[in-house]
This record gives sequence, structure tokens and C-alpha cells, in this order.
Amino acid sequence: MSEVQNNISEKEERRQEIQRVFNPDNCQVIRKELFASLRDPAVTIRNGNITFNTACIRDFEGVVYVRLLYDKQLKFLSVTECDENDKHALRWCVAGADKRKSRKMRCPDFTGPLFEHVNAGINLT
Amino acid sequence: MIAGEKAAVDSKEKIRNRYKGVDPSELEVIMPIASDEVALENRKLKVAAYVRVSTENDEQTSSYELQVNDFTERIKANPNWEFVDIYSDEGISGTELSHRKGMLQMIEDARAGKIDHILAKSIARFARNVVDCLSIIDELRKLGVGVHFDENNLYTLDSTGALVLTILATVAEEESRSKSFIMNWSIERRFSKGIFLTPKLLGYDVDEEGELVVNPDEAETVKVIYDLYINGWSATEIADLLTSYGRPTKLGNEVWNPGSINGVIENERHCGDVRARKTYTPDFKTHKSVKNEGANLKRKQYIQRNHHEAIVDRDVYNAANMMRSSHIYTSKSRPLPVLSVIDGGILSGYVPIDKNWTGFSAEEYQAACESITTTSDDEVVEGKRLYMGGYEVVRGDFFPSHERPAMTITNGKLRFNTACLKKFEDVEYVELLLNTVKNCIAIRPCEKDNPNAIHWGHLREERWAVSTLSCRGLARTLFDMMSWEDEGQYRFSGEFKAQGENKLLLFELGEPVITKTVEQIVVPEQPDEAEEEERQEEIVIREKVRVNPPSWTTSFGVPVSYLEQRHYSGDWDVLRPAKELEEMSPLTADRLAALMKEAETIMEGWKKTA
Repeated sequence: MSEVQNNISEKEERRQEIQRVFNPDNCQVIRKELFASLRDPAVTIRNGNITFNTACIRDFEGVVYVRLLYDKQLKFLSVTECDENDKHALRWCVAGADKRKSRKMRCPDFTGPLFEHVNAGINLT
Repeated sequence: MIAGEKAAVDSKEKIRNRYKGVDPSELEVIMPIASDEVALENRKLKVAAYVRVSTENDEQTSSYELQVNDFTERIKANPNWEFVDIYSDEGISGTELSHRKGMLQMIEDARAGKIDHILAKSIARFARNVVDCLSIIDELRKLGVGVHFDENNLYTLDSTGALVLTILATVAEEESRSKSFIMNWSIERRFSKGIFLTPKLLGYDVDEEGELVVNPDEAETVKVIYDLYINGWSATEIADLLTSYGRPTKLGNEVWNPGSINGVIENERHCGDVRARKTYTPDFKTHKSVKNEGANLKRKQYIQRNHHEAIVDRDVYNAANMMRSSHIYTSKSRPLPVLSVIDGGILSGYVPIDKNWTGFSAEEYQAACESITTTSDDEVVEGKRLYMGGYEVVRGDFFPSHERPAMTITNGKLRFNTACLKKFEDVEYVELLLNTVKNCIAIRPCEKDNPNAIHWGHLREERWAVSTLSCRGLARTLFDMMSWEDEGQYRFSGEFKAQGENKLLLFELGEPVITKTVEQIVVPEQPDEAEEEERQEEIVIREKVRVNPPSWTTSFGVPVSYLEQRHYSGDWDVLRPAKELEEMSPLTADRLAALMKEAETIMEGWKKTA
């Protein structure tokens, strides 16, 4: 038996072994959030303020003012760009000459009810 | 005699012997200083007299002269008396001491030792107020100064003087009280039958039957005062003008002051009415009259409309007094405001408002707003629409920011934050407009000479400095319209809208953030065995609390179906002039101009006469 044939045979044995042992029903896909990266869009909500990371800001090219939208049923928070003079406009970043930086937005009247609503039950003070 | 009886006789004998005294020749006597009664007879006294008549009519004047002459002759005729002075008060009531300069001077001279003895006709002439009378006489007595009343032959340094004096002074006061009662009764009867008093009044003479008839020359002065006042002249400016023309007052003076101008404006007789008992005298002793109006209306008032010929129309009189009630407004030298409404453009249905004017009610502003019908069809959707059913736009007010325009109103004060001023870039003067249908206030730029112009801030070293503004009229309207609490501070976020040169700020009044002061009573913990006096009292702590709108606790913001851009589709025309509502204004702009013209014509005549 040649050396090549031996290798193929070993690989096939390992494959069959894995197929015999692996049961996808017992597995979970590890959520990406557990491997947080600065490149992924993320929002941090503390008890009293909210911050969108630079990745969010980078993805909304040139956008300085946004509106937040919240779906109480789905518990989804969405962001959409808006005009500076919009009644609900929020300046979510610090716009410098060459780049925009993340900005902490104070909002105790929002985060309080939000925590209650999502039933976070975690005291982050 | 038994032993007991003998002892008693001895004791009585001893007492008798003791009271026989010693031989007078053995005693040395030191004589006391001569009393005033003795001095009155023996030494030269400095004598003054006090004379008072209560009114200045001829009859009283003759009485006054008689008293002066009599006292002067008597004092000078007595070789033991040295004439000091005749102290007098003519036309002054005896019930109020503070008005009686003669009496006060006499007391002052007595204190300085210039007077030993005072002559007066009667207690009633001396004082009609028991307390004052007795206290003056008591003070004079302590100074060694006696008062002799001719009528009762009463001398205050006599032993019986004080008692008799108290009785007589009480009678004098009672007489005064009785006269006061009779006068009030008489006045009440006259007024209730429509027989009014006719005191001297600029613009009128009183004919033989006591009726008011117009004095044409004085009436010109009255007309000019009203015409100029409702055209924005202050009382001071009018007073200066009349003084410069040498126009005589009712008393013949040629110097006017703001008080006399205000007196003319507030007198209802100039529009033909009579209101009787605008003041009354609550205490016959003090003679101080107080205003009988509002919460202090303590006596019946009688009004008769069209009692006599008017000099100014009733609407002019009402307009002038409406202005007078708006003190802050009149200080700005602005003419009578005219109610108007914007009848087109993005501000259709908004009413320009002077923040200090208190003459229009919330209902009148409401009627003005509702006189224009606006629809929401004027808005169009631009760009893409994205379905976002189920979402709420999180309200921007959850995110406090100095960059968000805000307006704060307390009961009487108005303030815009710097963000408002920055939005307009270079606008120092703005006009405030109210829409009671939309419950919204709009701010638009205006010229400095706009009657409603608000100087809301200024640039200082390239930075905007905001002003705190008085807003009595606006606050009264809003607090009434929105049923706000007087003590609260109401803050509103604004929405800036711009389209080219058209710029405006909108403040919705529905959801204010309220700051108010609350009192909290804290009871300190008391130890069980604490004594009563060691117990600590309750402490009242005052703190400011913020009260968010109720909707903030039930929603995150405004429900939205589609994400879309809505815009006003018509011509914005932000600076569109407001349309005057003639039927709702006390006087129209044309009428104001006509009245100004009338004043100018009259003054031309004065110039020619001069």
C-alpha cells in the first residue's frame, strides 16, 4: 500500500469517527458578541447614558445626527440618520475635522425606563 | 382700779403725750421750691396760645382771627406774662396730630423751655382725639407747662384738672365720631338717590345747579392727554409736553407731573360716567382715605353711566385704562396693541403677542387664532418611506443638551437659551406668536421697531449673551390657558425650522418639564427619655424637584409607522405681516392714527395762541 493511500485511509477513518460522535442537536453556535471586536457595531447602555462605538459611526458615513427608534414588543433599538434640526435629533458622535469619534450621551430618563422594560434586572451603577 | 385697767390708762396717756409734739421753736424748716400755682401768681411767665379752626371758610376764618386777637391782647395786657407766640392750625382737623404743624411746633418749643403757660379756647380746639389730647397735656405737664382752657376755666396743673380733662376730651372725641357718622349717613343718602358730589375736575365747570358742563379750553387738554397716552406716550412725556405749552391744571398751576396725568386718565367722569365712593375714610380720627376697590371694596359704590357730557369716547377711555393697567407695557412707549392674526404661510393662525401686554384675555387670543382655518394638508412627504410599524421615535428630550433650543417661562419671566440665538445666527430681535389651537409658540425674526420686538440677547465678544425678559402678559395668558401652577418653572424644547431665508422656532406647550420648590417636613428622631424642652423641632427642608410630563413614564416617544421626511408644501412666508382683527381690537390702527391727528391739531392751536 502506498503512502498516499495510507493517508486517505486515516482521514476517512477520522471523518467517520467524527460523524459517529458529533450530534448537532447537542451543539450551540457560539454568539459573536462573546468575541467582541472594535470592528463590530455595538452600543453600550449604562444606567444614565448610552454610547455607540466607532464601528457604528463609521458605518453611517458622514452622519452626525441620528434618531433612536425603539420597538417595545421586539425590544429592538434602531438608529436612523436625521437632520440636525429634527426635534428628536441626537448628536451621537464628535465630528472633528478629519474623523468622527464616539460620544457618550447622557439620558437617565431613557435608560431607567429602558432597563425596566427589557427586565435587565442588573444594577449597573 | 384693778391692775388691768391702770395699764390701759397709762398706754393711752403715752400716746397722747407723743402726739403733743415738740416746741415749734426747736424745729428748723426748709421751705419747698415754689409750686407752679404759686409761680403763676408771682413770677413772669412765658405765655403762648393755641388756636385752631377746622375749615377754611369765611365763617371759620373770622373765628380764627377773633381767637388770635383775643389771646394776643390778653397775654400782652398781663404784666406778669411775657408773650411768646400764637401757635395756630387753620383748616386742619383736630383728630390727627401729625398734620398739625402749629401744635407740633408748640410742643417742640415747650420742650426747649420757651413756654411756661398755654392758653386755649376749648378742649375741642386743642384736640378731638382723646389719646392725643391727654398725651400732649401729660407731656406738657411733665415739662412744667400748664394749659388753660377758657371754655371750662380748666387748668391742667390743677389737682382736679386730669379727671375733668379726661371726661371733657372723651366728649370732644365723641362729638367728632357723631359728626363723622352724620356725614357718612348724609353721603350714603345722596349717592343712593343719584345726587353725586362734584369736586373740581379738569375739563368741566359746575353750573348753578351743580351739574358738570364741559369747559372747552380745558377739554382740549383732556383730549390731548388721552390721545397721546393711547398712542404710546408715557405720563411723564405728556406732563413735560403740557408744561412746555404752559397749559394750566385745574388749580391753575402750569407745572404738570405724571401723577396728575394718571389722575386724568383714570377719572371716569371724562367719558361721561360717575362712580361714587372710589375712596372712603375708615377712621374718623386718622382722616386717611383708602381706595374702595377690588378686595378692599368695603363701602357701596354707585355708578351712573352717561351722567353728563363726555369729553372722550368710552372706548378711548377704556383703551387708555387698559394700557394703564399694563404698567410694564406703558413704560415701553408703544401704542395700544391691536389684535391681529397671520392669515397665510407656515405661521397661518398664529397671533403676534406682546409679552408684556395684559389687556387681551386667553379667550380673546383663542378667538383670534380660531378666526383662521388651517389644515394639515399643507404637508408633503419627500424621499423614501421605510416601514417601521411598532417603533417609537425616542424623544429627544430624554437626552439633555445645551445644543437643543429651549424656552423657560416662570410666572412673569421668560428666557431663551443660547441655542435658540445660535440657530438664528445674527438675529437680535424676534417676535413671539401664539397659536392656542396648536398650543404652540412660534418665534420669528423681526425689526427692532416692531411693536412686539423682543430683544432676546446680544453678541458680546462674538458670543451670544441671553437676556431674562419680563413677560407678565404672556405668562398670564399661558398660565390661564394651560392651567399651570403659579409657582412652577416651565421648560420647553424647541424645534428649529429653516427653508432658505425663512427661519422660525416652534415650542409646543403640551409637555413642559416643570421645576418647582417643594417643602418637606423632617421630624428628627427623639430619644425616648428626652425631656420636653430637649425635644428637637420639626425641620422644614425646601428643595427643587423636576417633574417630567406624565407621557414620559408610559412611552419612549412618538409612535411611527413610516420613516419619512415631511415638509410644509406651501410658501413659508415666515415674515408675513399679521392681519388686523378690527372687530376684536379695542381701537383700530386707523382710529389710533386719527386720535393722534386730533392731538396734533389741538397742539397746533396752542402754538398759535402762544
